[in-house]
Amino acid sequence: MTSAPIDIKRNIREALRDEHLRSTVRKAMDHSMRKRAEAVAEVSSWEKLRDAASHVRGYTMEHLGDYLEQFERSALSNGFCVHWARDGDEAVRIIRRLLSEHGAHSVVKSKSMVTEEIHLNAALERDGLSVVETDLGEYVVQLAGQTPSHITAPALHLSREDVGALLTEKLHEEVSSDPALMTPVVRRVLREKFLGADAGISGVNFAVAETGTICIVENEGNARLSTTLPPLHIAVTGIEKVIPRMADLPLFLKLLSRSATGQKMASYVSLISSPRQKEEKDGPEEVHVVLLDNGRSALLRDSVMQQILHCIRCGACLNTCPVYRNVGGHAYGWTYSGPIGAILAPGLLGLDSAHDHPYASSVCGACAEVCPVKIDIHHVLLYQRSLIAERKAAPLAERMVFKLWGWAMSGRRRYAVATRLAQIAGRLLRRDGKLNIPVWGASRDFPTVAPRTFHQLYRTRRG
Amino acid sequence: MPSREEILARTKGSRAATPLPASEEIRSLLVDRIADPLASFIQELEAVSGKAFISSETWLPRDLSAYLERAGAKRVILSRDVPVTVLRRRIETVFAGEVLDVRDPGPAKTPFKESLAQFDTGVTGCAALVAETGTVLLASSPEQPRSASLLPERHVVVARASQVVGTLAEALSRFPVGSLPTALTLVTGPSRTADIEKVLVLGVHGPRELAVFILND
Repeated sequence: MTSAPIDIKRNIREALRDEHLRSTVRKAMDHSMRKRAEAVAEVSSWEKLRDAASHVRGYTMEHLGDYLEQFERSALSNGFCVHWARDGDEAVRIIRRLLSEHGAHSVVKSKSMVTEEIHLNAALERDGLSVVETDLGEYVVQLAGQTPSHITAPALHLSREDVGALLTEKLHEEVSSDPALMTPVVRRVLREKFLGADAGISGVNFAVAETGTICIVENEGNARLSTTLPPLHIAVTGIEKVIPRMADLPLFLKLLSRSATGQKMASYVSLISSPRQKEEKDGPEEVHVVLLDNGRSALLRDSVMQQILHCIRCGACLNTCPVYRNVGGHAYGWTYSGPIGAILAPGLLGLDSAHDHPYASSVCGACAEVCPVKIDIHHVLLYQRSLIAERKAAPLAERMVFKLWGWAMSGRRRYAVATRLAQIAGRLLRRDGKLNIPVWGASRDFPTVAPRTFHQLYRTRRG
Repeated sequence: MPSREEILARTKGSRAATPLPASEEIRSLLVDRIADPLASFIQELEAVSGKAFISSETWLPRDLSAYLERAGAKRVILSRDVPVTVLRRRIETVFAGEVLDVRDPGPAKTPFKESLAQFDTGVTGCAALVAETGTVLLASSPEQPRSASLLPERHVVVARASQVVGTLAEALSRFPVGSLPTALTLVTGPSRTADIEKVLVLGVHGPRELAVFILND
């Protein structure tokens, strides 16, 4: 699958100029990382849990087809309908057909990245349906005509003043910029939407193969409302969200909650195993599960890329990433951002469309360190870079520089001469204590050359 | 090729892999030694802004109605899985507000969800209380509709002390494959959001208040 290349470099240049954005994102990220660190420190077996989770995810991906079949079997016997979609277009077609068969006019949605990935809202709106995002952050983002900038906190790039002004404008009533006062307004407005909705569309955090259960994790209650009140529930999930057994679920819930928000457990976890039963007074009469491939199965053929599918979408790698913290999510130009987005984009969109994404990283490895399922994110990045380099030769100047570098570094005397030259050049080009060499872009300082080399220091200090 | 067959063909044919860890092995990793599960449940519930009350079958009507009066509750919907006999009649003698049964929540022609939306408090039983995280496990049934713990601003749970278990793994193992309810909901504290500048606000879409009465008989 290919699409138009994403110009991530231009996005990054623009984001770096936006001080308001950078300070809003940074504040939110500091908060999230502090909460996560506290929650993780409480669990003495954290590393063992990560190992076990990584093992279960790896095994599941190796046997994905078998588990998908098992999930389908269990889900069908529970009374769910199961649909398979090889790409986003097919998933959108299936959902449009279901909604039209049910004569649905108004749809409530609970936060789902996979429906962002397939651009579902735009398609449904073209059909004349009213589609309302109901997660507070996602609702705000929808009103603003934007897309989520974070996997778990879609509106973190907006300040409270931004949101207050937006709600005031869109809801035609004076809304405070105090989160405690604006929330009840949104509750009132959206409660009407929930009660009147013909269908609810949700994502899925985990699909349990053994029991045919779909698990949805949230804090606000909007996913519960979306999957309880409307007569039709459509759950959309990437095929990689399947887990083998119910016994695996507590492990993943523990890792997900603590990694995402620093909670011991998210406020609400819904385990939905069937449509409304006879004599039950609420719950949807029909539940449809859409299993979406959209490029995922192709990643199984490569043991390095396969790891990308282990992700449980906690967002911890975004929160800790020095690149994400400085540019925010929109700079990545795609549904998923941060380190996981940087490896998912080439994985799902193809290396041609996302050839710059693996470079949006300092390869510091902070992402892999916090990943609850131990994805080697920075190694996947390097691997993708090597694939890109194999396909497309670097510019002549870059190749010459590295040839020269390699030659200079591979001989004792040449090395000494090169460092001596660098010291002299460093002195000549230094302005205000910095080197003004713009090869790394205007936003990054070139490291200064130390006035004395290690060898020189070693010789004087040893004596 | 139809999409189903195509996706299955692409995802089948596994490479060798170390076998999946046994369920028991995963459960043993998740076991936390909890000296006093009831005390731990209360501590964790309060840490997430829930309220805990110790009561007894005899005292519940009075304790509950005192709590409801303090909270300013006017209309209470009672689900039928509350583990106390004839609670509705007993509570009506002490509580000034209106108490209705989920079987008969409002005018016959009004849709169930519209009726339930008119209550400020929902009282339900539960399937288990989890000590490790302060979580209430709700199992939907004709006796306990899902809306009763979701639409009202206040959710009150009545549980027996014997329903406290250590971990979520323990609680879930009580539902063997094939015996899961339509919806099993894990509730840990009131509805919350931190979507705007990470400021914590309670009661976004679900209940703003969660209180658990534990019958220590």
